[in-house]
Amino acid sequence: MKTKVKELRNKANLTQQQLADLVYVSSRTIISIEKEQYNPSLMLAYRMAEVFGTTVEDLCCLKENKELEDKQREDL
Amino acid sequence: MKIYDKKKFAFGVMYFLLGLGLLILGFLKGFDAEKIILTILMFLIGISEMYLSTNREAVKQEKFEETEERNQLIKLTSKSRAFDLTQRTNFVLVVLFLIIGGQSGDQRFIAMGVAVAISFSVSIFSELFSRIYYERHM
Repeated sequence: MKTKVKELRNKANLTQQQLADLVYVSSRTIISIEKEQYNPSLMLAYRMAEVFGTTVEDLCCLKENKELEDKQREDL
Repeated sequence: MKIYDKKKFAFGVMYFLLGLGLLILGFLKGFDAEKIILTILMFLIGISEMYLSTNREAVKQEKFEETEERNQLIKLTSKSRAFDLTQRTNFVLVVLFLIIGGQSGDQRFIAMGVAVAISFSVSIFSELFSRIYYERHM
């Protein structure tokens, strides 16, 4: 799933380890989220959104991802 | 000295005692290379587990790694894949043993096929019951 984690983390001048410490996960988890290999849990997404001062909807590009999912469903 | 992880400490004590047992056995019946390596390994594991169980930071780090959400997903996924692989391997082995047993008439192959078939059935039933349980509780 596409997220804005990398973009917002760079804006906030945080390293992957610093963000990981703030949201109680390992830096590997942050790396995987940024690589779109792992979808964060709702609570982790909320914690990250709180760190960046944004909403889960914005952080996880929910509108965009929903549209993409809808398109994939239509193609089935 | 405070023990922060009692389970880990108990494992450490168990390994240490096993090492001690092997050492006593070695003195009574003699040592060989295999026994010496095993004894040293048991002592090392036992001591390191006991030490780690009293180290607050190490216990904290281990608990964190255990509960970390991506690690939990990796653990679940890898266990599930391993189970699938084992189930498929068991099925292939059952078929193989029964065919070889049937062709050669060797009862040992039939027995091995039946033994693996029991293990395969257990895995099928455990999967079925787990699915029923999680359908109700998730």
